[in-house]
Amino acid sequence: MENRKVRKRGQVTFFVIIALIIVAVVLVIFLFPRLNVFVEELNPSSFLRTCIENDVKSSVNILSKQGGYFLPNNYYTYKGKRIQYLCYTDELYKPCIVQQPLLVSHVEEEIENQVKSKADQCVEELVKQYERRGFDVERRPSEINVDIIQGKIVVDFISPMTIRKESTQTFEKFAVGLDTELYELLMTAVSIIQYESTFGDSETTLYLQYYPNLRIDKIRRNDGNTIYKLSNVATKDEFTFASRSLVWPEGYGFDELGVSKNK
Amino acid sequence: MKRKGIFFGTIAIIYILVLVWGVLLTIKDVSAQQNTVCCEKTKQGAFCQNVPAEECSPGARQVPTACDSTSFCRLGTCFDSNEGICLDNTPQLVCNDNDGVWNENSPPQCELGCCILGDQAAFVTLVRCKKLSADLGLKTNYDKAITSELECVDAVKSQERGACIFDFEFERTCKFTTKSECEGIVSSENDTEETSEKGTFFKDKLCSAEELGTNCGPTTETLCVSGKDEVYFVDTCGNPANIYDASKINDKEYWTNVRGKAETCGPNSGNILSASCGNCNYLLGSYCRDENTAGKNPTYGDFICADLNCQGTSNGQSYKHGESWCVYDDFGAFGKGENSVGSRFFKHICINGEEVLEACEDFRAEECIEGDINGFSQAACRVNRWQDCTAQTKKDDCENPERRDCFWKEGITLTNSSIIGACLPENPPGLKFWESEEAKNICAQGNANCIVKFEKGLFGDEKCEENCQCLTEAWEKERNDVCKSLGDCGSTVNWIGSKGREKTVVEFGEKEEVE
Repeated sequence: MENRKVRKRGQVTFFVIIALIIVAVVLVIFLFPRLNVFVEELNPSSFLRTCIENDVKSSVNILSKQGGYFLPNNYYTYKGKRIQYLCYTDELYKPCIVQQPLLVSHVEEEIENQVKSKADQCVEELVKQYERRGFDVERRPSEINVDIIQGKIVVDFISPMTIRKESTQTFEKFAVGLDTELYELLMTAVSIIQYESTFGDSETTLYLQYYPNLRIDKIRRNDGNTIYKLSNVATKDEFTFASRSLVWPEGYGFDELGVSKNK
Repeated sequence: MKRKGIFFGTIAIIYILVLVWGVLLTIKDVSAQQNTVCCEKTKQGAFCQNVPAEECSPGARQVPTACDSTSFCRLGTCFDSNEGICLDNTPQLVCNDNDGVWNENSPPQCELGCCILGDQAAFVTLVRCKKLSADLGLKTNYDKAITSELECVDAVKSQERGACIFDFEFERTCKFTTKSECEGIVSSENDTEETSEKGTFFKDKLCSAEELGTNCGPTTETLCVSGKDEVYFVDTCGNPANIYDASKINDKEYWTNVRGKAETCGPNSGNILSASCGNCNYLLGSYCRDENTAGKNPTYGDFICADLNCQGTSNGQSYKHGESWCVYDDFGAFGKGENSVGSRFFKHICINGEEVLEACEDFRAEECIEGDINGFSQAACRVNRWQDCTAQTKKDDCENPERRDCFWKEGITLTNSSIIGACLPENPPGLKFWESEEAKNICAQGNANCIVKFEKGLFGDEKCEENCQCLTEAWEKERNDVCKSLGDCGSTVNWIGSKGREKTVVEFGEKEEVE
């Protein structure tokens, strides 16, 4: 009898302890919302990558179809798309004049301008994520830098940041790399521009010897206009640009003398 | 009478004013056409163009001279200090506006040398070499003493390759690389520098060799190596091993020593779509690609020698990857002055198993030429040199292939020529005959005036005595052929074979009686 009483008391004590633990856990969760014990560790580069990836890809997609310009100003319209002239002449019988040197830097700048606001949003969101996890975040104004290199586009979030909790971590920048063969295509475009501006035309089959994955579609339009569509057969990346070079008139060209512009 | 005089006077003044206005407009138009300026930026957005002044963008600099003579639009070399590349024919202002370094002549930074990038080489500028090396995580290895691309390629071929053993995180691991990279010896621009990261190099050994005792071993996986044609086995450390050969997957010796291309399966063929052999050969039309792109699965791994050649092309023949050939499949013949209206030459290219079309310049301003180098077909679009054909009076000059693309037609005479025989374009140019005055002038050279003499009989009947051939259909056809040979003239058909509405115009003049 005594034994049963003692056993019952023990059970009650056990349930009370369990109840107290549950109440304590609930209180901890509700009273200390910044202490989020269920959230996994945050990887800033991975977070930023997920945040910016689609915007960078969509920017690259637009730029690649328009000769590296978001808003082409000197362009040829082909199938409803405005394609920037990277080499152009208004005259007859003459090779084109280079219109866009430092093409890689230009495209980097265009991507930067396009994704800058999104990049700021991503950094803001990253800070919020840290704060939700109970970190103190101290940061300075952020900048973005886009680098197009062999095989990838690297987006550098130059965002000096110090995060503190039990320990202190300091970041100067976060680098996010996206795979693309755009760099190789841009360098091929530069080489074609060099050809066109020197000889008036380019010989695209030469490139096949050196670049097995490269495909060049040279689409001749009227009045000396040529569309070049460069693509990587393995990755399907592409870059399209226009050129107007070595324009031949119909007949002897007497009709065209002096009135060479005829797009 | 006086009123009548005033009326005629007013009419005369108006007439003169209209005439003067017309003349002024014409002069203005001519001067606008002929007097171009060098325009910094046109309304269209193009930089440094010689255009009529009114096409220049408001506010942009313009000088009444050719752009070559101006300071701001002079052409020169633009050096891109980020990429280390030089671009010729760039106007000064365009280069400077894009943060390039402009020089009238090629600057010393544009001199080329040999850049060694692991087991590959590039013949580039020093700045470019630094950039490429940095992108690949390699130390700069640049030799400016090498002055040709071939020497540069040879320099990298002679590098010894093998297993490089080193300790990493308390483990004996391996990297398959060159001796110089392994031993950390990299020659810089001026001297030879030695880095501290040194490994032990085993020439012609693979990282999977058991005797090396590393943590790298054989796998059943394969990979494509950048710059190489073949499919390679890959070891557990991610290093490429020997060329993929399914029969050697468990062969210890094959996973120990480096085997050359000639010592591997199918050395003399492209091994196109072979499930068991990855010895691809780019020159024979095969290249390492993943199985999804290639369309066939290998026995092991995910990569195979894809077929890059083109079978059964539009002309029924098969071509190798990179071959190009001419196609003229529009209605009518070519090369005999019989090209149809709207017809055009095309160059076809075999690229990665696809037949890609490249049109030559429209209006037959270009023609396609092709040749054969050791059975490898090569074609190109070349300017059609028809312009001075009709000015030639001798057969030899006419058919000189070095100078022009013309042929000599016996027995006919062009307008304003006393020579029997005419030099005509092999591929007559297309003309904008529907709007061009020039087309009429070119075609007019084919006009012929033939005086036929008849003799009147006693009973009023007539008998042809002289130039009677001019009355025949054959003569009419011959003259039409001359017209067609000059360009899109005369009665002809278009590129899809539809006949023109008008026949050759034969006008009969009034008969004149001669005593």
